[in-house]
Amino acid sequence: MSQQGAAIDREAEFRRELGLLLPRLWRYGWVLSRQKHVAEDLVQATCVRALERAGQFADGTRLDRWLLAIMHSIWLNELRSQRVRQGQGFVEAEQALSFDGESQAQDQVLAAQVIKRVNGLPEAQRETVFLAYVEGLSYKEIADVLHIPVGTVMSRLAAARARLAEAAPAKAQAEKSSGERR
Amino acid sequence: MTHTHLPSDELLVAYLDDELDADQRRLIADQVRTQPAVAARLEALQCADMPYKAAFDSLLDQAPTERLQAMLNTLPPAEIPALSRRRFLAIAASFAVAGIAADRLFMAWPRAESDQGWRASVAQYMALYTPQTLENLSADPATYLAQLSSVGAQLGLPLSPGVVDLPGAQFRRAQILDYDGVLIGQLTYLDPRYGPLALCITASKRGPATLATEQRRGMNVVYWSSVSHGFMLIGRNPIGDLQIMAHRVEETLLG
Repeated sequence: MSQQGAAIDREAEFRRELGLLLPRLWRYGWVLSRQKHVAEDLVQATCVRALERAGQFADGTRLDRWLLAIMHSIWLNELRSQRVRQGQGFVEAEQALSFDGESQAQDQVLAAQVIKRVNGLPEAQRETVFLAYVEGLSYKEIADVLHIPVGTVMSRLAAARARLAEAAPAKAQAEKSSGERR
Repeated sequence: MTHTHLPSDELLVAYLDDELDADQRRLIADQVRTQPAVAARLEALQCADMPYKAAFDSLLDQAPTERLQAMLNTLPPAEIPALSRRRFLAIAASFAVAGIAADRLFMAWPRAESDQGWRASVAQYMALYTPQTLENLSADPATYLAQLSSVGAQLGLPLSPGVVDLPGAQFRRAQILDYDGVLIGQLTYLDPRYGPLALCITASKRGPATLATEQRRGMNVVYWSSVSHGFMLIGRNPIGDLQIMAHRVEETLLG
């Protein structure tokens, strides 16, 4: 009886934490697909699979990393398409952001520019940059989520940085101190 | 003592990201200090530092959080007996549909608004569907009628259950997909033999064209156009089956 009760508590806790991560999962789905509706479907498929496999989730590991890995695998195995993977026809970042209010306009323009640059990267570089510099994962964690060697993470980030640096506007260079990692 | 070769971009980026062990880190730091070329390359790579986190955090506000949470709430408990799995997926799928019905689906439309472009996008979306996605959608005729008349009104076509009936396939849903203002009517069916099937319609001024076939993402496609609209049928049915269905639709819409 009490064992069952504990299982229900655990289930409720798992769901609660899953719920807190929904916006971040949606965002990763959007970075992968660059399409809002696909992002939503990806979140749903990820939740379904996470609940199915809740028993396999090991205590002490991070739920967010585990979920990102599930979503990546669903995207790769079930949703990828030639067009998307070749990086053609990407969404203009401006379309993805809704601008409201004059006061924040400048921040939003900058945000839109940054997203647009990242969006312009090939898929493999794009998601690696996202996991490293937005989600803040370590190289080892990225390698685990994407099922690739750490060396591949390094080469993707090096290639991405070289590309982003070429395209970086003078303004971004001047302000780079704010974004530095030490 | 200066080193004669430059460290790789990989090492320099790992240095910037603080991912090197102490020895490697010291080595790179020495090279940066003593070799202007290394310092210059490091600085160039550092130019790629942008406020990534802040920029992408702005996207979090745009997540349809309430809808996602409601979706999560409908998912059954984690420990699922094998038998109820089908029902479970069906509930999940039907929920997604209910959420979607509230507003139009906004989709990214590839730059090339070619004839190819819309078919590629539809194929990409269709690849998402499994039979489970469609299995338990409402079979309420009144709902179908309402969906079809709404989609028909937006496309300028008189759609009704009789018009869009496809032999051998069960109608499941009609909805509008919006690709940057280009509307696509998506009528989804479930064929018990071959799985998900869709009839998609978009307004097109390219003029009439007879049936043509192609394959996309492992699915068969039959497409054609009338004076005012482009059509495509996509599914895993044999091409011959799809052509028969396509002819039927063509005739009923004309008649």
